[in-house]
Amino acid sequence: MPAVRRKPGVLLPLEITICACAAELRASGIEEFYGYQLAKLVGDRQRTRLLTAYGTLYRALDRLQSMGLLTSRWEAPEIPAQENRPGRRLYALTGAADAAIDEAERAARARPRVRPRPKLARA
Amino acid sequence: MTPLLRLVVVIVRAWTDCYTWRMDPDVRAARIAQIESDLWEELRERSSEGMRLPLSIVARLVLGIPDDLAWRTTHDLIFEGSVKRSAAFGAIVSVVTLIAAIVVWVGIVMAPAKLPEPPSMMLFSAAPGPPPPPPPPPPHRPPPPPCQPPAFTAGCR
Repeated sequence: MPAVRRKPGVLLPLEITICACAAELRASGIEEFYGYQLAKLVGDRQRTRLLTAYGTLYRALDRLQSMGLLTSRWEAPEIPAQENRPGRRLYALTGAADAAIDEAERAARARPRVRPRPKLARA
Repeated sequence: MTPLLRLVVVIVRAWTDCYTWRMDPDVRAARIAQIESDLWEELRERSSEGMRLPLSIVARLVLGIPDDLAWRTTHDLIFEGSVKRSAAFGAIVSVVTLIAAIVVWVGIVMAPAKLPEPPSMMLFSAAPGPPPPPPPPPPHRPPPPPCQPPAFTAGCR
C-alpha cells in the first residue's frame, strides 16, 4: 500500500492547534514555550486529560520548525542547573506563522462539509 | 517515586534510546534531552495523581510510537538514505516496547486482590462456651394401682 504523502505546506489539525496555542501564549505575554507546557495547553483546548503523545508532539514541533513557522533554542545551561532540572528547548512563533494559521483556517472553512446520508425509512 | 513509576520512566528512556540508535549524535542528544525534560516536568507537576500518572506516561509513549518511527525514517531518508535498516529496526523495537507497555498495563489492571486474613485461633477460644445441657427429666413412675378389698378365702364366715 503506497504511503500517503502530505502536500508540502499543508498543516495538520494538530499543527494548527499548536500554532493557535502558541499564539495564545504570545498574546498572554509568554513569547517562548517548551514542549510540556504546550502539551498541557493543547490538552486543555481539546478538553482531554491525556496529553499529546511524545512522538506526535515533538515530530509536529520539528515539522513546524522546518516549515519556518517556529524557531527553537536551548535555554541557557545555568538556569536549569540553578533550578536542578533538565534543560528546556524553547520554541517561539515566527511572523510567517500568523499568515499560515489564517490560511489553514480559511482552507478548513472552505472545505465542503460532507452531508450525512439520509436514513432509510423502516419497512 | 513508586517502583511502577520508576519502571515506566525506564521504559520511556529505553524506547527513546532505541529509536534514536545510530543517529547523528547531536540529533540524538537533542531528542533524548527533549523527552527527558518533558518527563521531568510531568513527574514534578502530576506526582500527586497516583496511578493516573504512570498510565498517562505509558499512553503517551505507546500512542507516539508510529510518529517516532516516522520521524526516524524521515530523518534517515533525508540524511542517510537508509530505509530498510530503519524500518526493520523500528519494527522490532516497537514490538518489544509495545509488549513491555502491555505487561506494565496488565500488571496494573490485573493486580491480585488482597485475600482476607483467616480469623485467629484466639477468637474461638475467647468466645463464650456452649450452654450447659438441660437436666435429665425425672424417671417415669407408673401410677399406684387402685385400692382393692382383700379377697375372700374359703372357710371364712
